[in-house]
Amino acid sequence: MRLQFILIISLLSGCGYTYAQQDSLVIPEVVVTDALFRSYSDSQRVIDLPDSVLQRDPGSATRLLQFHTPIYFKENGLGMVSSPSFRGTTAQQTAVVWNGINLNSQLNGQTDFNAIQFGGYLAVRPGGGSVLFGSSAIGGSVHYNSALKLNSPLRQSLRFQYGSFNTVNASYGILAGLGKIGFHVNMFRNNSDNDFQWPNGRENLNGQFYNTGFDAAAGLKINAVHSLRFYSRLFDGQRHFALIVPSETKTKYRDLNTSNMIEWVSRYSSVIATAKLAFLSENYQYYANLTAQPQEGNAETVVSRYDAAWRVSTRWTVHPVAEFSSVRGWGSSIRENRRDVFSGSVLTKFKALESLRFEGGIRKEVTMDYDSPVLFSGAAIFQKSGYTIRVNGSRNIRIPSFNDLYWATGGNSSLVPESSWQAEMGHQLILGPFEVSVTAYATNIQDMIQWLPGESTEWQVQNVHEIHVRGLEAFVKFDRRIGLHHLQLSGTYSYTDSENRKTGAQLIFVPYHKGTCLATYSFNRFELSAETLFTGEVFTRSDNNARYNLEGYAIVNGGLALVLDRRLKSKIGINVRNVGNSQYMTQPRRPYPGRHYAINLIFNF
Amino acid sequence: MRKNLVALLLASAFLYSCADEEPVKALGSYDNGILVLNEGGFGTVTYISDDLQTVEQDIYTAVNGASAEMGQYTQNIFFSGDRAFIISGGSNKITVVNRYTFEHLHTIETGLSNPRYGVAFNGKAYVTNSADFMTTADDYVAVIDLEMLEIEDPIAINDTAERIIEDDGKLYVTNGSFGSGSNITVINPSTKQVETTVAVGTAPNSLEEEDGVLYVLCSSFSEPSRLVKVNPVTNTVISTIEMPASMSDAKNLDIEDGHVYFSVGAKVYKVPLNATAITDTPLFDTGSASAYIGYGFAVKDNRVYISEAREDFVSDGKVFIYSTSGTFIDEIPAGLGPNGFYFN
Repeated sequence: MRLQFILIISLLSGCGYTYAQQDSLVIPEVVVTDALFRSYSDSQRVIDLPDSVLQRDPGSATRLLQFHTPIYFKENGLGMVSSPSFRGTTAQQTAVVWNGINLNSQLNGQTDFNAIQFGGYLAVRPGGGSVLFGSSAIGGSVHYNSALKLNSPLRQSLRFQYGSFNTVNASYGILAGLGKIGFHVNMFRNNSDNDFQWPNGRENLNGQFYNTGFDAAAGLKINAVHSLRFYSRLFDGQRHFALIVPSETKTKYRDLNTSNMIEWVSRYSSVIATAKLAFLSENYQYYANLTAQPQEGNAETVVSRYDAAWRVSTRWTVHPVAEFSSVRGWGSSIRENRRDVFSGSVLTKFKALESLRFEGGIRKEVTMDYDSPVLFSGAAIFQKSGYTIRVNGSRNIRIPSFNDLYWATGGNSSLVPESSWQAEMGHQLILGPFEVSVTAYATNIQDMIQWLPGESTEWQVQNVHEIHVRGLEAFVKFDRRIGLHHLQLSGTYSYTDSENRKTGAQLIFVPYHKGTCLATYSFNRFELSAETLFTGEVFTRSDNNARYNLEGYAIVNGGLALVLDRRLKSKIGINVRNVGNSQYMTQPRRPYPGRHYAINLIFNF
Repeated sequence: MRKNLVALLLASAFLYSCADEEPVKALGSYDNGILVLNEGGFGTVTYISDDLQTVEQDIYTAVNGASAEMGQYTQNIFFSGDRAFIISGGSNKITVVNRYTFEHLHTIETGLSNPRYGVAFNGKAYVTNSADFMTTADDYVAVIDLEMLEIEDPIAINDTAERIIEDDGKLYVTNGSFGSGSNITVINPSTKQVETTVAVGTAPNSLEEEDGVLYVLCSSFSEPSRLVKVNPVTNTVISTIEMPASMSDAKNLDIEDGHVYFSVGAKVYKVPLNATAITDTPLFDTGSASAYIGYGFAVKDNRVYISEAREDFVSDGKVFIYSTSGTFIDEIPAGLGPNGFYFN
């Protein structure tokens, strides 16, 4: 009963950002839609997820990131609520940033990776980034930016995949640029009966879902100095929540999220000034049974930001940023409230030597609701002929969500933000076709917010835990083309020790070990690929009682494609997922499908 | 000291059984012991033998296989003869097993909607159902024929339907939960009609009949706890004992050998049935710091059983056993969220 309550609370509650985008539809001039990310991420080993990777796993942001990044995901069943753990942190400590704007839910503080569709350029930035991206960038951040180009011929792309369990993943994209004006629109539709067979023989019940939406951008170059851009996205999805036991009450959940933004960029000789105005809305409806009135939550956010990158000299850039955001939230169980946050930050980059650069930043948020610490980041990057050392430190936050603060019973308006200190050092070596990189980090997180039994109400949310994370991330890459043969390998490995300081126990649902590997071999018109995921065992109990652990697992997905048009990269292929028919779970009693199949068509014209 | 005492008690129990008792053939592996229901997550049952020497976790899957499932959030067990009925609130399901062997006999999966508590009487089982948690208007009592295990027409309650007991041919349903509600609903099972309601005050949470009097414990987070005596013939309140403010949120009323037992947080109280006032003098204090101490509670055969669910509800809980004179006997690990004790 009480757990059910917590469950309800918690409910209500695409690998390469590249500018020399080999795989994308066309060539330059790419519009930079998230200057902060692009300019101040040299201190991190950013994981780029190029279009060739995105198209491998259409329709599921969870699977895409699970198979190609160190982020661990747990899902309440395939396609259901999906929560990340990045560098041993919680779902609220990973930020999703769209064209520079933080998209995490204002209501529960996290992004559900099965209620988002990535398009355009996708990149994952491990490590703290609150100075740049605000709340939640503690474990790391996921950046997805519109693919806007101003001088491109008309290109269209139709992608269609049909797979087991009546699963459809379809999208249509169109992109064009006439020099001064350009636009990009990508529309998508995903749906699945999701009625795969469980190891015990029965089928996955009430797991069907669909989602529809688009991502669009348009740009206008007014003159040599001024440009205007408009961005828009919509995600409209419905998921029935899969049952564990057939006799359970069927429930479903609807998401309707929109984002719209206008941006005005002025390029002067030594200053690039950007003004953004964004309006975001989120709405969920939870049906505790299929016929009942749903419980709802809503939030509307207005973000205005002004920043100016000032090139003081060829070596030195100073970049002040001012942002004001106003959020209004309301719902069935949330008292209507408004939260205004003003933040000011100054970022800087300095190139001391050809081989030595520094990045730094400081940020302060001011709001009526809570006291926020001064955030900072500082980094040094040493780079010499293929060898890079990165050292950085930062202080980051996760602000209390509307649910945390204003939930009708148990919300606590005296919460303070979760805050972290982080230090890391990374080494990267690029030798011809080969790259290896290793990063070690330490993150201490204080004032972790948790719902606990209350003194005067059933539940009360409190700042309680302190977590220490010590970890290691490694990346390898290999890319070699000989004649008609092309071999590409990329792998990640992460070791994560995430300890609750009070109990000494490892955080639940944080595996010590996780590894991924993507191998692609192409010959002439044929492409053969294998993606592999290895996850070590995870604890599901806070006292680390091993009796309840979820076993580690390895999964291999294989693919074979025939390239129909080498210039435009149109192709037809078949994927076999979970080739080894492994039985595995990321949540207790939530098995995944065994071996299953999909055929896909990518038609570019 | 405690260990010595335990050893002494155990030794005496052992000697006693050797010396005096005819060996009675156990009716199954789980006879002569205590069943602890663990709510879960997924519900499990822990078996503790009467001599406290044998403890077995998750006996249901041990007997019926790893894929056997009682369902989510098991709330209550009631017995009828040799059968135990295990109610899973989260899975709208009642698992029927042999209470001594724990072999699965039957599963009831219809007519239930967030079921809570049950009682068997005169060939039928009566099970309270919350239905939609957001409203109390749809709560009802499901009626199950115990012979055919078929669902009959339910009895609408039109208020919270929570605990249920049978006394002298009538059913009494508490209309309180989580600090709200204020009535007891009286049902005549032969006509399946609600006879009347008795206003007992804020949030009745547990009740028991003894010697022709219905004892009802009422409490909330904000008001003083009260022990209310009701005349089940006239359905009127006989008297109310208000407890000191320091004893708010009293729960787990159980009557044994002329005394009323209940818990307030980590403390357990023992009050004579004929008391006219209650003071804040606990029988013992478990010292537990968990907000979920007293998640399950029972008094039986000179022992007090009180369980503790872990504060975060993400690790297994445990059971404290004391004598009825307040002496510590043992502490035994249980499953996730132990919420009730049942005796074989």
